[in-house]
Amino acid sequence: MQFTSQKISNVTLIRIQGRIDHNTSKDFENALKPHLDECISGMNKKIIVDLNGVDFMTSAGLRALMIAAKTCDKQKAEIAVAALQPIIQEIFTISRFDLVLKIFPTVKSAFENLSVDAVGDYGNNLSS
Amino acid sequence: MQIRFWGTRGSIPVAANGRVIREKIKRALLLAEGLRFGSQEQVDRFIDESIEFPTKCGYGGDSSCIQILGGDDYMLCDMGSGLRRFGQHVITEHGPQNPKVYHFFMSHLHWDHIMGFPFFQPAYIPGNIIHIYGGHTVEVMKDAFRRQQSSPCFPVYWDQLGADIHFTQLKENQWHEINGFRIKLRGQEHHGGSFGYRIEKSGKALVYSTDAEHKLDNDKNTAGILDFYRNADLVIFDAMYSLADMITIKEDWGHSSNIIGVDLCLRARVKHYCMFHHEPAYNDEDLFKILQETRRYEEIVREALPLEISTAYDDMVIDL
Ligand SMILES: [Zn+2]
Ligand SMILES: [Zn+2]
Repeated sequence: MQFTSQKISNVTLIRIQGRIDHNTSKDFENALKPHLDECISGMNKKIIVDLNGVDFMTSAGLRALMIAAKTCDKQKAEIAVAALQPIIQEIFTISRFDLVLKIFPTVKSAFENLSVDAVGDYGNNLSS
Repeated sequence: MQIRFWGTRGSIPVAANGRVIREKIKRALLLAEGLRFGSQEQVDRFIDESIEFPTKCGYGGDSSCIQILGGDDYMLCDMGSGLRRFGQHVITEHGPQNPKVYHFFMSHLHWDHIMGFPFFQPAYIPGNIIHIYGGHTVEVMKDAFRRQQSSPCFPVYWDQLGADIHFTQLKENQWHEINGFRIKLRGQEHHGGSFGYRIEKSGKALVYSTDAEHKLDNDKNTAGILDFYRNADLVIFDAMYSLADMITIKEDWGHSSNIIGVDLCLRARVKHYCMFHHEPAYNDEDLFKILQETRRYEEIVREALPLEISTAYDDMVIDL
């Protein structure tokens, strides 16, 4: 599993690539952790997790995501996941995560929902 | 070894009401529209081949009670409301005046796991011998049973039971030889603690692991669960909640989810994963849908041999 993160306006965009199972869920947690710490410290209140590059996820990955969502919830911060592959979308439906997490078909639509300010910057970012 | 499920529901028994039955009849009639049946056999064949499980049968509503056949004596795990039907079955089979020995292995003492005992006819008949084993202390076990059969909860008091009843605390993580089986207990996360059982005989292994919240947030604990389940032929698992429910609103309620069970059983190379302790709010269609979804999840995440998956229903029989 690999990840990158970037700050776009007032949103942190985290891109995850690869598999998230019991072997790699710790890496996934570590990818999210500094940004959750920023939520706790008040430096950052919006996170989008781009899962377009994730082709495999078990309950271990879902659990890490839920812990992140709960942390954000406590801090009145927002977290959304975006661009799920069909197979990952299916896992979200089976686990009922589709009922408790904010899920968007594309990263752009996640930006549109979370931060009007950041949409333009995200668009510029794409073309640059 | 053979496993018979006398009760499979979690928390409280449930029963199908008139509206539910009417819906089932309606669906069956719609499926049969335009058909003509020449005989009872044709009707049965139509039911067997053309009607889905939740319409023609359903999962039943008695609370946790399973029987393990293959020893000289009767042997069961838990005494939920399903135990009443088991008791009737024994009396029908052998008559009331035929003393037997019963071995009960208790996951824990929550009400849904002991409520069948006051309605277990053999307990009232002198000559019967009943052994009750568990991981809790004898005092804790006795107290739960006594309180259940005392005023104002029940009219027949514990001391009025005719059978010879013995309590034994079994030590965790070591083998015990009982009724020709070898049996090991493992403590589980649940309010007041619960115990899973690994039961082996003639090269076959059953794990009965209900009322357990497997958070999998501690590697050492997870490794212990995997060892306990390792290569089992059948794991009967508390799959009461969806994963989202388990780790949000129902966190610390003491139960696991269907897909946690799949992940654990795949990692432990279990052959057959059987979902158990069903949420009382789920109807037969819900449970059937969850079974299809759980099978689909297994298909997506499996990397080696496929795992057989079933949902336990009252009166289901599994041969190992
Ligand atoms: Zn229970
Ligand atoms: Zn319980």
